[in-house]
Amino acid sequence: MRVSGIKRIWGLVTAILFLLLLPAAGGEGSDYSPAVAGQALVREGHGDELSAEELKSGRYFYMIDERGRTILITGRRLGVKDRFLNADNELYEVESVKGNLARARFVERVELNTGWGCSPGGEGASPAAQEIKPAYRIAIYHTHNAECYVPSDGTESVYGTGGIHEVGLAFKESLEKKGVKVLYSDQLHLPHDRGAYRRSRGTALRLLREHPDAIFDLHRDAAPWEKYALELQGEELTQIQIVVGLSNPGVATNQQFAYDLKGYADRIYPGLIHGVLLIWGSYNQDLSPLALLLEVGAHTNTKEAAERGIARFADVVSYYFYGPAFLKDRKIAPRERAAQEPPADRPRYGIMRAFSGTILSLLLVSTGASLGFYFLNSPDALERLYLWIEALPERLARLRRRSRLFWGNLPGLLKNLRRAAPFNLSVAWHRLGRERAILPWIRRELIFTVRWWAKKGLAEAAALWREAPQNLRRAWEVLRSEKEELPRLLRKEFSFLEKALRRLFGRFSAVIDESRGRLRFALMEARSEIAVIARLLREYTLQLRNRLRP
Amino acid sequence: MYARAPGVMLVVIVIAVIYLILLHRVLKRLQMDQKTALVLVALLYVAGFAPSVPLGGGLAMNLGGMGIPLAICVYLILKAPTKKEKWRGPLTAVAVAALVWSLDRLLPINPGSLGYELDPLYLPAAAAGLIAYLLGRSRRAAFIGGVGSILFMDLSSWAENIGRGFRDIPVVLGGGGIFDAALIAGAIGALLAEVVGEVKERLHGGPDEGERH
Repeated sequence: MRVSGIKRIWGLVTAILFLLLLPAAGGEGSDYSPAVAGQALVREGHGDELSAEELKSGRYFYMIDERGRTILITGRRLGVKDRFLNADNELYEVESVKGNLARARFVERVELNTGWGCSPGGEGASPAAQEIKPAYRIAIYHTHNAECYVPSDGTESVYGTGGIHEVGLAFKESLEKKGVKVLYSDQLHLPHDRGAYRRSRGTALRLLREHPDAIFDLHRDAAPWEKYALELQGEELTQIQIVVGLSNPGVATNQQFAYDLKGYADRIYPGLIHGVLLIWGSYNQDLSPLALLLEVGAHTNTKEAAERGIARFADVVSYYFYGPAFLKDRKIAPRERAAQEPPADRPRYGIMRAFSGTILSLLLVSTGASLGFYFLNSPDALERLYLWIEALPERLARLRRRSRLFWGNLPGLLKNLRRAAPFNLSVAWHRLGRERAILPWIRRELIFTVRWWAKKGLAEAAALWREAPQNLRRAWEVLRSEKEELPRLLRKEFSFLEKALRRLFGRFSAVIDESRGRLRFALMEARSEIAVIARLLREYTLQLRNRLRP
Repeated sequence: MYARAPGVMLVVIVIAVIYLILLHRVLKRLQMDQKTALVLVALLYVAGFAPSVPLGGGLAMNLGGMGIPLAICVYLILKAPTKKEKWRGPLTAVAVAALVWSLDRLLPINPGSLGYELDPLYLPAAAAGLIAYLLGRSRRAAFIGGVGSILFMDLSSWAENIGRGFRDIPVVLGGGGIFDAALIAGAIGALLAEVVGEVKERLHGGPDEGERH
C-alpha cells in the first residue's frame, strides 16, 4: 500500500509540528495566584530548570492539598499522577495542574520499614543483609554538572563544574571515612540540556560495571531556602529529597528502596529526608533497581549546609547497607518492646515483594506483546492454534505410546549397546589409525610446497642478478640526462618563486597600509563616541544633582 | 547487599534479556540470518566492556556502543538495493538529530515536566521510527536514523563544549555499550517502524512484500 509522496511529506510535517507543539499542549493553563504563596505565578520559560529571572523572583512549582495547604515547593514541574511522600510519610497524588500549581489529594499514610531488626545491639539485620554479603561500594555521579548554590557560588548555574560536585565530594569523603569504597565520577555531561540524562547513561553504566551496592545521581532543587533548611542536633544543614522516576519498568523496586532509606533516616535523623517525589521520567533508574536521584537542598541554600546534609545522609546509607557498626558515635534511642514487632499491615519483605511484582509484570507484558505481535503477523495463526489444541489429545496419546515403547525397549537397547561395544571400539580405533595415516602425506605436501617456493625464489633472484648490469647502466644514463636538465629546471622554478614572493609582499604591504588607515579611522570614531558618552554622563550627573538638591 | 540479592539480579537480568531478544529480532529483520544476528548481539555485548578507543580531542568511542553499530549501519547502506534507499538512512539520521536536538533545547530539562511526554532516552527512538516510516516505511532507515542521530548529537555536544572553550571534557561515543542510547534508539526505532507498518498493513488488508526494505 504505497503512500503518495505528498501525503508522506504532509505526514512528516504534521508529526514534527505535533512534537514541537507538545510543550504548549502540556502546560496549557491560566495564571493563578495561590493564597498560600501570595504572589502571582505565571508559567514562563521552559521547564523545571527555572531561568535566572524566575529563580530570583521566587517562581516555583507548588503542590497543595485539598485544604489548600502547601505540601511541596520545588523547581521540578509537576504533572498529573505524580506522587509525593512528605516528611511525615503522608502520600499525596496530583489530580490536576494549572500553571505552576498542582492540586493533590491525600492517598494514605505509609508505614515505612525503620530497620528495627537492624538495631545497634546487633540482634539481626534485614532479610537480604543476612543472606548476602555487601560489596562495600557506593557509586556517585552528577547528570547536571552545572548546578550551583547561590549564597556560596554566587550563581545558580555555570557552564562547567558547579558547586554540586563539591557536595558529591563531601558525600564521598563521608562514606570513605567509614571504610566504604566510593566509585565517584566527575564526568561532565554538558551542555546543560534535556539530553544530559542520555549522556550520563554511559557514566552510570560504567560505574555499575563495578557492582556497587547502590548508585546515586546528585542534584540540587530550586526552592526557597527555608523549605530545605534544617537544624539537627545544633547543626545547620539542608534536607535531602529523593526522586524516583515513574516511567522506569522496575519502578516498584526503586520506590521501595527510596522508602526504605527514608524509613531508616527517619529513625536515626528525623527530618533529614524532605520527602520522596515520584515523578514521570526514568532518570537512568532503569539501569539498576538501586539507583536513586537525590536533591541536596536548593539553590538558595549554602553549599556548606548541603555538604553537612549529605554527610548525614552518608550515615543513613552506610547504616542501611552495612549495619549499625558503620554509624560511629551514634546512639539510637531504645524503643518499647511492642515497637520491635512490625505491625500486621506492614510488608515485612517489601523490597522482595516489589521484585517479584516487577518480574511478573515484565514477563506478562513481554509475553502478551509477543503473542499480540505474532497473531497480528500471521492471519491464520488462530486457526492453526485451534487445530493444534484440537489435535492435542491425539498427540499426547501418541507421545505416551512412544515413551512407553522407548522405556520398554531401553533395557534391550542398552544390552545391545554393551554387546556391540568391543566391535564399535575396534572400528573407532581403526578409523583413528586411518586418520593418523594422513599425517605423513601432509608432511610430504608441506616439504614439496616449501621446496617449490624456494626454487621459484632462487630463480627470481638469479634473473635479477643477470639483469643487474643492464638496469644499472640504464639508471646511470637517466641520471646523466637529468643532470643536464636540472640547472635549467631549477632556474625556471626560482624565477617563478621570486615573482610569486614579490607579488605576495606587494599585497601584504597594501593590506597593512589599508588596515592602518582603517584603524586610525576607528580610533577617531571611538574617541568621538567616548567624548559623547562623557558629555552625556556629565549632563546626567548635573541633572541628578539638581534633582537631589533640596 | 540488595544489588546482589537474587531478586534484584533477576529484575536486571529479565530486563536485559528482553532487550537483547528485541535487539536480536531487529537485526534478524534487517536481512541478517539468525546466526549472524546472534553473533552480532554477543559481539556488541562483549565489545561494550572493552576500553573505549580514543579518537583525539577528548573524543573516544566505545566499540560495542558505537563502533559496531556504525559498522552495521555502513553495511546496511552498502546493501541497500536502490540509490534512494541508500540515501534514506543518513537522511533519517540527520532529520532525527535535528528534531531531537531542537526538542532537547525546547523541552524542559527534566523529563516528566509536561505530563507523559517521552523520556529523552526514547525520544530519538520514537523520532527515528516515525521519520523512517514516513520517509519510506524502512526498518533499515530507522536503525541507521537511531544510531546516526545519537552520533550526531554526541558530536554536536562535543563541538559545543569545545566552542565554549572546554577542551578537556571527555565525550565517549556510545559509552554505555550495548545498553547505550545509540543502540536503544536504533533497535526501538526499527521495531516501531515495523510495528506501525505491520498494523497499518493489516488495517489496509494485508502486506505488500515488494515495498518493504
